[in-house]
Amino acid sequence: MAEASSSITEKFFLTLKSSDGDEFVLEESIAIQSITIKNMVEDGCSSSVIPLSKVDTETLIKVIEYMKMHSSTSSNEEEIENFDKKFVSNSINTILNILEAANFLDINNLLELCAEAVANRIKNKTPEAVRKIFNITSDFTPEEEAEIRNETPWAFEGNLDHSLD
Amino acid sequence: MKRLCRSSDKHVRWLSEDIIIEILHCLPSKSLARFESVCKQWRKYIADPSLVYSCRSQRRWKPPQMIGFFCQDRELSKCSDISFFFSLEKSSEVIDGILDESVKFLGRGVYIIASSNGFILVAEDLWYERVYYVYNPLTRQHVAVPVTKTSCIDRVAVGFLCKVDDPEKDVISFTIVRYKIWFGFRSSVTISR
Repeated sequence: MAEASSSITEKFFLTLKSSDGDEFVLEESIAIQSITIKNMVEDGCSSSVIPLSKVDTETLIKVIEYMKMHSSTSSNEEEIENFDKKFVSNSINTILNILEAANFLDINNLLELCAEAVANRIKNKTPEAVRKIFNITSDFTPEEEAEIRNETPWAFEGNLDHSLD
Repeated sequence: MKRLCRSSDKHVRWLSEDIIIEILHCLPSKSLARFESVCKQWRKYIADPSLVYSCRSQRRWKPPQMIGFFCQDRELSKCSDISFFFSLEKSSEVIDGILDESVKFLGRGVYIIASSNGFILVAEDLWYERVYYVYNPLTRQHVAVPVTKTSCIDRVAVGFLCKVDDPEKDVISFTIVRYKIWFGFRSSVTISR
């Protein structure tokens, strides 16, 4: 009797290891929202610890939070919506880190959520602010840049946002 | 996967091409136009017609959204009083609420004749002829329609059709048809850009 009930509720767990060496134990049913992890499980490579060399601890905690919320059967739509709203209010740097992790782990709805969030945050920004956020050095000469800007003067009208977050 | 950007601080940020393109997909065209000057890579991605194309398809082919409409008094003497109305609360986000200023172009004796696909056909009556312009309220650009022999001021009915011939190459063509009301005379001009 006890044996039967334990087999019904039996859960598989996976251990995810961040690039900082921290380990997180997570239910398999939650973790396989990541297609990368799902493929590893299906290929039988998940018996031990899954090393995620591209994801640091801080980011992995956020990603796990997201996966738990989005798989839990108890959370309703409104809860998920509120969670997502709060989730994207993280700093733009944090969101970019999560975006990279979502790309690597292949979690499509997290990728979409973060890409949309970054777009919303930068859409009114100046090209200078965008360069700083993305760590880009302009490879245009000042003349080239002025010429490009002159092609679309209307794109520079209105109140532009110079902030970096 | 091509590496795009390199950070010099200790948190080295390697943003892959995929991620940058994913973000660009979510941006409105005004931001894309502004971000062409960020760096050569970004300009390349933004200029790539497939981005514009997938950008539209990413938005799941939503039906065209009416942002607002122009209103002009029937009496020509009042034609400088052209108003623009937003139709939706949300639309001010789309265009940053600055579109209404763009009608200033129309204030100088230029009046609205017809609209099609977001473009507006306007005319200006000079003392010897009538000049037509196709006006894009979003970019505030206007193109003068080549003057034809029949551009003189007559009583004419005008039809205006704007269609996107090739979204890949951003070719838009305008067809303008004028009917002289009593002779049924027809002249048509098609211009592409």
